[in-house]
Amino acid sequence: MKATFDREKLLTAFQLAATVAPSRSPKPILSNVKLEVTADQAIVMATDLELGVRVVVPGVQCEAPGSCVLPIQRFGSILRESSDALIRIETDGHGTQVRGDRSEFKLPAANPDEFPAVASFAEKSYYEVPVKLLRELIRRTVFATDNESSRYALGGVLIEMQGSDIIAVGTDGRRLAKMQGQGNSVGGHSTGDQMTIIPTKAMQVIERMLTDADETVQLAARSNDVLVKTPRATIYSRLVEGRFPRWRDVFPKREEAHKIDVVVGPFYTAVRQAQITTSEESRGVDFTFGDGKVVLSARAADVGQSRVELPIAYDGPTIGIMLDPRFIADFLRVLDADRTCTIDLKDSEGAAVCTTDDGYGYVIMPLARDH
Amino acid sequence: MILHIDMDAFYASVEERDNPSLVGKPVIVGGSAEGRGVVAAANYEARKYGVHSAMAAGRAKRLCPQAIFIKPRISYYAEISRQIRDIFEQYTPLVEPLSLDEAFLDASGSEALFGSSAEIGRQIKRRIRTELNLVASVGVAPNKFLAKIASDLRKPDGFVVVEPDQVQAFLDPLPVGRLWGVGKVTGQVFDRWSIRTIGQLRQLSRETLDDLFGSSGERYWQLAHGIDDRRVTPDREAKSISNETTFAEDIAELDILRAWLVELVEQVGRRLRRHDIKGRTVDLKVRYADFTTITRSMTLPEPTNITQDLLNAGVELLTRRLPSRPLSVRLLGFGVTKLDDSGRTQQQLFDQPDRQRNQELDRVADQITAKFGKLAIRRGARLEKEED
Repeated sequence: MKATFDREKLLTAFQLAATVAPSRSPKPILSNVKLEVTADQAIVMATDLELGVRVVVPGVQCEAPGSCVLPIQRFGSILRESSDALIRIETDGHGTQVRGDRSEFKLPAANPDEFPAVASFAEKSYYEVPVKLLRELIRRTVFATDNESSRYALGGVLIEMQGSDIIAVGTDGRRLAKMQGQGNSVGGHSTGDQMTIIPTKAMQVIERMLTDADETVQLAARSNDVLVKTPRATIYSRLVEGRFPRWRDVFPKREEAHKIDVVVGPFYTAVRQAQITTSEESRGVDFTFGDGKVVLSARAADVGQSRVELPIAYDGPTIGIMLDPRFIADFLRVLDADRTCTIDLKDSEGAAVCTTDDGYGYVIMPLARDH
Repeated sequence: MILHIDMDAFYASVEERDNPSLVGKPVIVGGSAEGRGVVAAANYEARKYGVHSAMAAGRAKRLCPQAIFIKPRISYYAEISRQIRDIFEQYTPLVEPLSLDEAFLDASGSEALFGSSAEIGRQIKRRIRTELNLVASVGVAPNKFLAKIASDLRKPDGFVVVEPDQVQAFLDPLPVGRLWGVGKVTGQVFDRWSIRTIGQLRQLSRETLDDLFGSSGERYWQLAHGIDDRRVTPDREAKSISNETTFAEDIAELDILRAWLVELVEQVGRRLRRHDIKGRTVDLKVRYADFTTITRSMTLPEPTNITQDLLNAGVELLTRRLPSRPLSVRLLGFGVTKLDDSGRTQQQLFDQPDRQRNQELDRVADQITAKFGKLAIRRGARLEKEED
């Protein structure tokens, strides 16, 4: 293999791939990336066997196709410490040469054929989603997942693709986030009855691989794994095994509830203020809606107490609920500050259901008084 | 000085107070006149016939056919217990309740306000009588161990003060059976060595006691000398609630350890619930035969006082987190820290019915335990470890 790379573009692709490599592994070869160069493109690969990525490297001039295995720590340092515009990489049977304008490194060569295969995207049946929507599907659900749960498989985001609907759900059993949007099924692709739970880490990696471009991403859910193709990368991930709870039951069907509209930015500020006087042992913040305002109050022993008031457009009956402020902050954080969201409350014991007009729903269970 | 205040035949006395026609007659709370169930409490009249708590009602009925059986009203007794505690707390915040009818108080800090600890004990005893029309026995002594013996010594209606310079004179004539932890097995050892009184026990050297009783030798030596430095800790203020037990013989079987764990967890759960507090971090302590001590802990997603939740965590630590070495365990401990007294519970989206069921189970079990004592209700896993 012999090729010349744009150093910065190679560094970007390399860093994206390197996040997937395990920090410690019984298989030492996994702490490397594999670089594969063909006549028309180059790809950096990394995998921990559960999750693998192929990241496209733009700006390559290939002189001889081939591949090599590069140690993540040292090769990363070479790319970062250099200020050269171009980097030339050449391998023979004995080692890999990395050459800049006035620097040269020789690294021992492992056999690239020993690097585990990282699946590429060759699916005929898949689902197409705009990059922008997929980013929201991930950002608005991934924070709610729970890797510790033993009873249910909550360590990932459940993806449902049916007709033109794509739904993502994340929950830790105390709050649940659901984002819904429209995509396009190609070749009749659908998740059907199968549970497609994509691990939290894989979702984060997918998000990182998204470009800002107005493009689409292809998702193919299979029985044990999922393949995702973005304009710059392909991601392979095994699915979380196990049962996802019946999430639809969580959204209450309420005849009589109080719908309260709040503007995200100021409300988020008020929540953060009230949160100052909570502690690990005393986490609750009391929200009292009514009389054209919401009053947030919190009190924790040894910490102090707070009272924050915010005018809102609500004049219905006074209604109070105690919530863990972290849960509501998580919801507000992923929304634009000038957007309005609706909080739907029944009483202090029932769930708070927060929604936006663009397909986002978020259910928080309250801290209820012990009887 | 420490006070130990113990209500005399509490449940039965409450019933007599509310129904004076019972006074002077043998009264049994719990069980039925048809002879089913277990005796929760018996008044002194009934005790004359040999009836005592935890006895099968059928046997009590045979011993004392004319006894009047009364259905226990546990939540009512708990309410009165709270009134008693209100009196305690007017004298000192350092109240450590042991059950509905018994508590330790440390009133040392209040002596300037109310007089000596003995005087405070007298006032409390008088107020329980005048305000609640009930009788308590009170022991006042330099430590918990002595105070408890003192309150028991002249029951009912007892009031015994042990001054610091009288400790030895007080203890020496008492039978060794008064010492905590002296059961059948230890009693036999004492018998074999003709040790009948605490005074005789005190003559033995620490080394001899170690030889006779192993790890418990130290404790017997201390108790015989009237030494006990445990503090009065209100559970409410405690930073942790824990319970541990040292085994008479080292235990090598996981199943048996698990059964012991159940018992420790249940007691910790009961104490948490009694004070409406929950814990978030669970600790397991294991001391091996070679005295290596290992603790393992685990933080739960939410604070809890549900026995089943605590037990799941404890079993996980016991079965999965201990180092791989042959089991030979002399001490097992279980505790809960990161205590939360907010009186709030994070509600769950899923399995809320399961949680409520476990909560209800605890509530009922607590009532039965309060009524009939610890042996009345036990989790299945515990039955294997039938001792006593």
